[in-house]
Amino acid sequence: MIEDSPPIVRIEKITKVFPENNVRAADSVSLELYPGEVRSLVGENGAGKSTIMHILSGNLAPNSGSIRLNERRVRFSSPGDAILEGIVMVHQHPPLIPDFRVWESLFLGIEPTRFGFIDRRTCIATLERICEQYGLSFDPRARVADLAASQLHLAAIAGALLRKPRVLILDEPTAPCTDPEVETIFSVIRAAARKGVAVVLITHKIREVMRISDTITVMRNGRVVTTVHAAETDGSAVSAAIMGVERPAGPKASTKNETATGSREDTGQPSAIGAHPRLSVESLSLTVNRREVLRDISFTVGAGEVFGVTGIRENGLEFLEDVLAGLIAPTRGRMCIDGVPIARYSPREFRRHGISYVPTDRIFRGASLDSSVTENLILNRRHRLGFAGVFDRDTVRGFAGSLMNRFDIVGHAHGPLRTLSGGNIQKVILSRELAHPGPIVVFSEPSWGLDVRSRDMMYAEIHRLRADGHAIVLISVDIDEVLELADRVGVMYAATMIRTLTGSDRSRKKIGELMLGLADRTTGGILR
Amino acid sequence: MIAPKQQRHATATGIALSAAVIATVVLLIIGSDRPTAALTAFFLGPFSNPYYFGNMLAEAGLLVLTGLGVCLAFRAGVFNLGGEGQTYAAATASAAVVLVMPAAPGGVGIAAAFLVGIAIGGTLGAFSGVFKWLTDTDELITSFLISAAAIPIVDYLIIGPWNDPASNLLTTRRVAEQFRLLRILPPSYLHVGVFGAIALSVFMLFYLFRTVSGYELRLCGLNRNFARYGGVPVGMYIVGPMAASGAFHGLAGTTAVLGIHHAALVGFTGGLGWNGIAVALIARTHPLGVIPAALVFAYLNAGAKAAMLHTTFTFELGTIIQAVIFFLITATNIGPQLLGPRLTGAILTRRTRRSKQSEATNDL
Amino acid sequence: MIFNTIELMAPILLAAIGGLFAERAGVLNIALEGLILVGAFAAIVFGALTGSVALAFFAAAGASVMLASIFAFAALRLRANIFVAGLATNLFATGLIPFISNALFSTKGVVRLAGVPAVPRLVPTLRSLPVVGPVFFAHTISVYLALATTVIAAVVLTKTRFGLRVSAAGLNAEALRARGCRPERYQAIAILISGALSGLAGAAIVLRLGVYLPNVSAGRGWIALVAIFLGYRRPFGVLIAAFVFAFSESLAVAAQGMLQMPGTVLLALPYVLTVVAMIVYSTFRSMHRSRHT
Repeated sequence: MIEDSPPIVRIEKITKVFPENNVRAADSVSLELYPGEVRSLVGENGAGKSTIMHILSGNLAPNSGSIRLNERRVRFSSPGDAILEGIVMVHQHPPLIPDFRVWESLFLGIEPTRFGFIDRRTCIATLERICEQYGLSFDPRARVADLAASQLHLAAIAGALLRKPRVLILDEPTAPCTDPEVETIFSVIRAAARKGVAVVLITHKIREVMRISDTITVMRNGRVVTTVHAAETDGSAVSAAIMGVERPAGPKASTKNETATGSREDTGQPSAIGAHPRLSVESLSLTVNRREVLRDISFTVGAGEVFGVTGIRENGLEFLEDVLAGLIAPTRGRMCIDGVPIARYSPREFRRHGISYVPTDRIFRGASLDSSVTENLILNRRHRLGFAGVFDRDTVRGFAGSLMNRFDIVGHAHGPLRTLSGGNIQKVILSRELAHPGPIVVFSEPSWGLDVRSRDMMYAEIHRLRADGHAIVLISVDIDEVLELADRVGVMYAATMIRTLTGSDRSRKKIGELMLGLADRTTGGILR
Repeated sequence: MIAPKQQRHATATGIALSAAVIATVVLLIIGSDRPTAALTAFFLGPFSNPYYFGNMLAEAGLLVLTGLGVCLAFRAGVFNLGGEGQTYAAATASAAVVLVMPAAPGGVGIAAAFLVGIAIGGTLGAFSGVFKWLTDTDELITSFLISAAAIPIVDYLIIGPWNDPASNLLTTRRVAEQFRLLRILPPSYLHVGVFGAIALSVFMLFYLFRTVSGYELRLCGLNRNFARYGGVPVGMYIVGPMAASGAFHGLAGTTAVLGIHHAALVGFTGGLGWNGIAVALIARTHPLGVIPAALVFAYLNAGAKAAMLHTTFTFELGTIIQAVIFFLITATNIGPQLLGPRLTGAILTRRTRRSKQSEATNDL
Repeated sequence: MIFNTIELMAPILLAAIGGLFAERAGVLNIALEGLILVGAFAAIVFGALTGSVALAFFAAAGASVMLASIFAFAALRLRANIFVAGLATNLFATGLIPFISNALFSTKGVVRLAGVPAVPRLVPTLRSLPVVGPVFFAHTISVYLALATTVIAAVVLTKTRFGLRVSAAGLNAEALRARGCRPERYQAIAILISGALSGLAGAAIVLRLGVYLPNVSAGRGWIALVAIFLGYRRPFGVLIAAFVFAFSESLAVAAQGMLQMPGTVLLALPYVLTVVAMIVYSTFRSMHRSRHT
């Protein structure tokens, strides 16, 4: 039905090789987009989805190949050129400006003026109209910094609509969103498509892909594998195409969501609740800039137990992560290891106490991109790889080599970390923390940025650590992930841990209600 | 297309040095009645006799020391713009120390002078480091300001209370014979201190790349958040390198007094601080690279001085050479690709990195 | 003394407002000092040549814009490290001025030329008003130029498209780029503006003295830089900070007369004042911050 009209965009044999690491991110990719269609672009990390869309939106220049817009050859040397032609991309992490008002940030680049001055009133009125039209709820006059992460995304999408796109590219738009917010984004997508906009959706969430798309393009290793109509396929077939196998490798990949509730019981492993608590968090509170961001949080984690913490971002998860990592000292309350309170809150002290930590912010906190792979790997063991503060080169080399072998890291040991692919960078970080894990391990968003294959490897590692008797704290906004891995789940809402769920209580629906603040706090469940 | 980093660096260094030479040649031709003589002097002067040659090597020795100081700070991700004042204050203070103990044995006086020089330079550097650590005050600006404040005060001391009444020059008395460093190529100023400078380069190489502490320091320079996350005491690596950087400048100052000038004159260490930055940048902050970089720079300066004798008027050719090199040496978008398609990307990487770092330093 | 302070404030304010544009665009302009010097030298030369104050100011701005464009080219087009390029600009100014001065006037020190015009004061009728006359209307036009610049800067930075984009370039250059604007463009213009205003600052300094001295800026570029931070990066905040600096300077000059301090030590004073102000400001800021944490 849609293909009846001529394509609005015709991408022809685009190739992109990154000179830093010689990776062929796009390899002779051809793609057609039609007005009014919703196209999902799926594939593992490094499959080339983002690369090809960055080329289409003028963020990257291709090595070869061409782009035709309504059959006219176009060349973009900047995002501005693409925007002028009606191709607008909303990035995975929309570059908004925290110190600006929302309207300023969104109208940047297309500011209407009157007598040389910015016409503030028109800006706000236009935005309010768009919000009303699409059912978006954010205040155009608010400061960007005061918006929640999910609202930022909605605002960024509104900003894209202001530019009257003919092609709208959304990179992981639903990543930070709750279910109702996902519905809002979907309704915006549908409304845009009805008006004849070609919408491209880059995402990892197969379930959403199946719901919203008209057509699905699968990419692997920089090539387009197949393009199919959503109506003519199913989730497991798409997953198989992504992974490059005939059928899904295991039940996890695609059917995870359906089986999630019962997965822990299925494994048949004994739950470790009631075991000797290694880590106990007691009445933890934190106030930042006069705002209480953590209120009276208590929980314990025993040896051989995974304690999951979930919730919507901006409800205290980030701050709980920072406290558990020793980066911020709590205003009130304390943390004890084997019953002994921690005296000083610093990452140094925490490392000494045997707390390993995988941060959410892998790039700025978890790695040094300009240091060599080896130098990234030895961070935690640096005092043990030589004598009297002097490194022994052979020991260092041997240590790095063994980690790279064990975790299958592809890259040059002495090259800068920056030259590795995204997946390998993740593996460097994880292998460093998992090589000699302390008795307590804090994971924050362990599967962010990982493709399905690496994610499964990651989950297996967490299972192994649990079996080896480590006490594990798992912070994740992904309910399915928490259900998959955690023995008990603490749900954060409005700076406090409103409920801890155990056993059969841990249902997707219940957690969802709790994290949205919909559930009645006083009934049922174990209150802390 | 982005060329590999090392190739880009080599291009930038080549272009910067050639541009400095070209600028010098042009200025000499404009400014001289006898351009050929001036140019010959510029290129060959430093090699024309042992006096010029030895002086050039002595200058290079000092530049190695200040260059190493700048390297250390850069590697730790802090900027020390106070080299001028640190060198000058330390040099004058160490001259004063040996002047108040004219009868002391040579070794004692030399040791005391070096200790005082290192202490003064280190303290001036540490000031900026401490305020950066405690209150997040930009060390780049404070180190410059403290140094700029120190210079006129030192000037005053040399002209006023410590002045040598017997001399027509603005200088202190000359230091006693036994405190002077052994000269190895008379009549030039070349002295044994240059071996110390070379040894320190080798030691710095070892420290930065073979020790745990050097590793931690470099991590702080590349990604302070990451270093903190790994349990590195990042505050220590702000104050320490700033102090050590100042100490290296102090060392250069004392060496200048005991090895070359044998007295403290007004403005006599002028340029060592800025030139140290140029040397460190030419060397790409590599401790061994500092040695050839210092030689090149000392050669350019010596050549400029020699050529000045053949011009009709004097001017600060050395400063212009510095400026041209500074404009070009850190350029990353230079050479053939400048003519190619426009590049995109972050231009103010240091700035963004800094703001990222400051976000996480609130509990230090 | 207040009168004197306001006169002293004018060049600091002009340079600081110039630096503010660059600062808003995300460029810490440590080249202000060199830009002021070049403006000062050009003002004396062209003032003597033409006898016109307006042309002297104009030439000063032009000369500094030329130097600023070299700075902008190195930092933005060649993508040199911004601090090193700023350093280069300062060194270039201190190297180039003696060269030109030597070539033209056979001196690389004090340039004393005949025919340098004095900076006029405001219309005499207003000046003769009782009480308010001397305080508000008796200053040289440099003062009014600086004040007008501050007001214009405030309007431009907050109310216009250009100002919004300059701020965006400084706060998140990638966001601006994603919106189809080139941040380098706005940063370059901001650097040129800081060049022009620093040039005017240089002219204001030397036309008041009537003679060019080596290093006549005496650290005012650095003072201006610190005034930007102290003024919370806002034009009127910068105005107050510049006033405070000028006031403490005139206070110190008065004090040294009484204490018989040597003249050379006095040269250290602006730097000491600036570094103390900066540390006090940062200390206050970090205490303020930790109280909320």
